[in-house]
Amino acid sequence: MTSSWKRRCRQRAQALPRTCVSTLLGIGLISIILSSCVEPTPPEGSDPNLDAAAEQGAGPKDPALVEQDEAKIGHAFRQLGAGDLGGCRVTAMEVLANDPAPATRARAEFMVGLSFHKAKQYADARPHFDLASQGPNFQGKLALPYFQGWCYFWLGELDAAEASFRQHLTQAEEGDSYFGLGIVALDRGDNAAAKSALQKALQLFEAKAATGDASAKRDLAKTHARLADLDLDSEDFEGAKIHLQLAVDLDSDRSAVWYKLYQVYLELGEDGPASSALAEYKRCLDSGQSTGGMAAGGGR
Amino acid sequence: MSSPKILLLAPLAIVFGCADERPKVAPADEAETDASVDASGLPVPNFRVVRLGAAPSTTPEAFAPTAIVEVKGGGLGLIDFDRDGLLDVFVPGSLTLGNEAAGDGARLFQNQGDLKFVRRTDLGFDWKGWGMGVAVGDLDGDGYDDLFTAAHGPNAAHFNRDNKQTAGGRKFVEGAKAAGLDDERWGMAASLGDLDNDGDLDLYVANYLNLDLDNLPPDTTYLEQPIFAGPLGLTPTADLILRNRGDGTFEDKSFRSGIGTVEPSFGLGATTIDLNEDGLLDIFVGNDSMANFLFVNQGAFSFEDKARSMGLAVNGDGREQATMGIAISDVSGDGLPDFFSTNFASDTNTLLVARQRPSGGLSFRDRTSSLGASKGSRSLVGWASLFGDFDLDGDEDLVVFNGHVYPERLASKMGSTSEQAPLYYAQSSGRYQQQTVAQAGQWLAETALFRGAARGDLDNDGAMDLVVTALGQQPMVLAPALLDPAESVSVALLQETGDRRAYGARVVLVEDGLSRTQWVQPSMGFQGSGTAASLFALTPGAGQRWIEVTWPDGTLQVEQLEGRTGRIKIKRASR
Repeated sequence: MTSSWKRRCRQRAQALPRTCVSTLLGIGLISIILSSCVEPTPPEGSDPNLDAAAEQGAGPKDPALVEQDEAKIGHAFRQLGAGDLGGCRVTAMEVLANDPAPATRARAEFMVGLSFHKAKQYADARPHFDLASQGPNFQGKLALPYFQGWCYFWLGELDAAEASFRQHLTQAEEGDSYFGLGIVALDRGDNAAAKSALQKALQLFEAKAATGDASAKRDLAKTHARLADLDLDSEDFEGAKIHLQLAVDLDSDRSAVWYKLYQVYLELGEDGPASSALAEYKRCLDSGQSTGGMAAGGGR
Repeated sequence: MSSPKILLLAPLAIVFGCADERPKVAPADEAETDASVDASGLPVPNFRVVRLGAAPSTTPEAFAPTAIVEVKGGGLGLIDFDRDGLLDVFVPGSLTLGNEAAGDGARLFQNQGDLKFVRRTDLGFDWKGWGMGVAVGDLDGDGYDDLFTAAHGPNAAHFNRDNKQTAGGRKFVEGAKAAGLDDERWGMAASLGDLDNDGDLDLYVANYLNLDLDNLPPDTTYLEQPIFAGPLGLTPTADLILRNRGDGTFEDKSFRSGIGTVEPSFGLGATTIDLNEDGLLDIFVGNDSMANFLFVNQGAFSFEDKARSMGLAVNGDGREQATMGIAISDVSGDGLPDFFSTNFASDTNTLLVARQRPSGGLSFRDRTSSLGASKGSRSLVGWASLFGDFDLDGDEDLVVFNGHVYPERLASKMGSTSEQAPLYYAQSSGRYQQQTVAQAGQWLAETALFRGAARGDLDNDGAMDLVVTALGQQPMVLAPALLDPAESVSVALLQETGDRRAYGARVVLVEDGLSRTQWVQPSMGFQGSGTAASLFALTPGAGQRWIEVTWPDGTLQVEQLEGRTGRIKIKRASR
């Protein structure tokens, strides 16, 4: 059964248009979902509570209806990828209203949560993520703690955010969650922990880049930018400059990085490069396509 | 330093005081409790809570704003209007759309000592409007402090005049129009300072946006909820700078001064301080969701915005923030002014720390997280923020008052509530440690739609008290209650000019060669104007002590303390 589920996941993953995927939620997040879809790793052992929950509900459902719900979930996923957050939510809610099988229900909750998350409605996303988390395994569930981590982070719950990122890392050695841990540590002012987590993230993103994954460039850029923050905090402006120059070489559309570079050049008395960095910063702001801050979400 | 094991008096004594409004005086809770101790082992002060006046006609429970103007007001000013040595509390009040008559109007609570206040209704405060920020200072140079109120609609100026009919012999006369102070644009905050060193007080008004109350913009949507429009999507308004002619009347210099060369912005706060120590006051303006300004004074009443290059325009990620409250203090102990600002939810507050650039001049770096000043703030909407050595241990602590602009249905979608609790951080080993209710008292658990605040020693006990406003609630005084406070010195400056308080002056306490620095700030918190005195806790056993005053025009004056403690007044030596 597991292998047939795996096969279905693979088919579904292959069916997802890559262009759509690349715009979905940005950066490496969707790759987490996809990778977990392609290679789902059920948690070791079995949780009697979850098993019981999976057994409850409507009982065995007509396979045709299950297939129908699954198809809707796939549709919701594509809507999410296309940026139709409201459509995604409606579709997923339709599934939920249809008394789906427990695993489908959990996936639908995850979809609803993602639609809120993408809209930066973290308080709205949280209960859906929680319900998805309590449900049985489903494809993509491995990525759930990662999203919960950012959700908690933006709600100011740093301990819960850290726990979620760590939970994700117990299941998948992903640079994204090390990056998340780094951001949490930075927010706490724990520079030693931040440095450790960010360096680990850098290592994993470099490995990802070596596989030819194009998204790794942006991951590396954001990590270098945060490592620069640590140098800035200790007034190591030369060190910060190196990280920031690497960051803009990897991704030149981050206003935050250009702004930091502008400030670093000014500190070092390099007025010419400072002017250029300021112009780039303004270009990013004016383009309206700036990738903004180094972490996802936030702000009005 | 105080002993880590001391007793606190009256952990939460709530006194309802207002003699002419059927005062209810609750007996202070005399129970003694163990002092709380922070992570470093230092005692944390508990605070007495005193509420001023009768409960207002609107309550937070009815908080259902229909326009942005309803959520922005909360100004207050501390003024010793009768010069009896006690700071009184002025609140301009605000209104509710559709029921303007229900507004409380401007109120002055006279300080009778021992944290007892009485509302004076005979002082000429019949002004009722959309009051926002308050500036306190001697506008007309007659030796008594006056009150300026930025407002939606014409700004107001209450001049403090002789009057034999009133107790204390003073009465206020509203005279904004005659003084040229009645600009009708939406003024949000004001800051005074002698910007041209001619001895009188000039005025900067941070304006917000265009809002026609008779033709409100349609509601917008935020987080899929309908809500009143603004600020984004509405038209920002240019700020105003007014030069005092020396006779209490003002001329608009907004265009010729260079202030008008910047893009109009959603101004929320302003303060004056001589950042580059050139003997000319500069102006910092906090803008909502837009880059802040730092107008560096070029002399001859001309200014140039240098916020971007100095690192004060945005946060460390280059992001424009809401910048409601502005607090300035020397957090790092290097004698340079550091800037703290409060921000909207899903963002943290921001601490920008000053540094001397090797190439000359100041720059500011975002050290919010590394100094612990972001903790607990991300889900909150911050307003007034105030530095002060509330525990009298020699360093600057920090308090932040919060409260949403949105009703509960929307606040909950942001993971919070409309009414929010304050944040209190004590400094320990150079970092800010967020204090808990158990450590600092029940006031930290009190939720409200907090807005403005100012600081001042209202009971003259040598500790810095706080006065805070909240929408739909009485103003509240928070007085640190330390049974065994350290010795302190409170330095008030006096000039024989219209700028009596010496706004922008730099005051340094030097003890055995170590120095601590404060600035006389004309505006503080959010929309607030507080004490002009600088309060320093004294180091026990220190030998030589003196005060160095850099007056607003850059003149240095040194005053030996020679054993003096408590309140001292330093009069400016003849020019």
